[in-house]
Amino acid sequence: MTSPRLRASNLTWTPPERPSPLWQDVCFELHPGECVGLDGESGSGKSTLMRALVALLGTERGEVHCGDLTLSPETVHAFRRRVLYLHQRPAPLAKTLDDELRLARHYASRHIPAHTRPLSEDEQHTLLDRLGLSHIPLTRTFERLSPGEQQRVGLVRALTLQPPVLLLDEPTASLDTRSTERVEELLHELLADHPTRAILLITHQADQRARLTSRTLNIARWHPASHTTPNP
Amino acid sequence: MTYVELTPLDLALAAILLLIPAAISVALKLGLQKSLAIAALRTTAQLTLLGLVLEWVFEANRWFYVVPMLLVMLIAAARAAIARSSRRFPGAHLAAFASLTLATTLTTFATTELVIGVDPWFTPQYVIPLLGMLLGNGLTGISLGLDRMLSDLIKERPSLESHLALGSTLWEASLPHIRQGVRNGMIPIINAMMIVGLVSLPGMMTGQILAGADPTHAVAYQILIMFMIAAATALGVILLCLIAFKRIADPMARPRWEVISHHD
Repeated sequence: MTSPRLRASNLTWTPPERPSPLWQDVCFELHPGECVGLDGESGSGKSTLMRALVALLGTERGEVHCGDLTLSPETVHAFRRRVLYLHQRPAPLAKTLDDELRLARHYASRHIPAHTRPLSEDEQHTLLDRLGLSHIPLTRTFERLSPGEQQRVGLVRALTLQPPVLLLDEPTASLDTRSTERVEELLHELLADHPTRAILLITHQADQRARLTSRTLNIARWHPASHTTPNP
Repeated sequence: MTYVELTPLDLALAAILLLIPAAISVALKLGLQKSLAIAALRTTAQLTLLGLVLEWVFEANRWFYVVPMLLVMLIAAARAAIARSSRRFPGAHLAAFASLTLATTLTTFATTELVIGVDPWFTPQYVIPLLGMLLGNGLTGISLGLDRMLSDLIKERPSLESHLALGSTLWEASLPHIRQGVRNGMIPIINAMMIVGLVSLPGMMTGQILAGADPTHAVAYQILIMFMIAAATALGVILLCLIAFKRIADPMARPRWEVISHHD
């Protein structure tokens, strides 16, 4: 069974103040069990492409499929439940850490994808513990967490939904070495335990890319010809 | 009850009062003399014109004189409401007009028909001032509401998108901001109701008393007016915020950020 977990075809997007597309005719597939890197310089459109994959950004044309589900106004909620985009700097959903976890469970209870089971409250706490966050009181507000803590809480929130496809935008950008290791370990395990899952990963750390990804997509190949600098 | 009619000469005498702000402006180099002069002329011209038009409409006492007048008031109020909001969306003027029209005419005619018992239904002496009072307050309410809702949506965009990314509907994710907008639009009238008569003497009541009305009668009308304003403002701000939400919602469960414009 090698039907792709995520398939993008002909995605094209032009930023509001630009005459030509930032990326065009983006086509790629994520296969079960893969962790694929999405590479490119800052401002090359990696994050916007990730956002477009879950329709947080409107593209001019193109389609995105997750298994038998095609991204459309009718399917968008179920689609985002299956293909979860995690922002580089997760923003608060609610006031306290406890509310964050509760809301994540609430969203996880809807449109549950086949063969998955959302995390329970206990499992959320186990995950917090694994990511070195067990010291934070549940009454702490999200804003008072450090950027590194926020990023890990964002990951716990996302993993509560146990999504088949994860789109991770620099998931360890604000983390120290120890925490980065913990996150990488977790992502490894995620794919090893559930070979039907797939991850698309933006990272600027070459060593991390080497440790986690099996292949890399460079966004430059989808830049319009006039904007690409020839590679020697 | 008697009241002293003011002659143009009396008003010219009163205009001497304006020398005080003019002198302050000159002394402190505020540069407001010109604006003050224009404002004084506009006040005189606009209100004189209004007086003439009202006299004419009252005299005619025909619905086809009253209704166009109400329409002009509604259009002017809708324009003013949107002009005051720093954030707008396409079709905001029409939306403000629709919300104000529905909210204020419903409240006005419900009151004139069911509470006061005006006959005929368009009696200008009641309908025009009542609608005017509702519009004056309602337009502040809806512009505050719209401004707050759209500013909040933009300010809280990262949080909103976090909700959406986890599969929330756009309505669920926007509801706190819609609520905040509606709340913001209603606060001024609630505050006004709290302090009316303690700190402020409402203009309409003052006017009635000066015109020779019995204070208790003037008070009764003022209470009625406050209730009407509360009802009309609440209706208007809810309508406008809901229309705004509909207008900026993309079918793909995300706000169309690009249509929210900023004006200072």
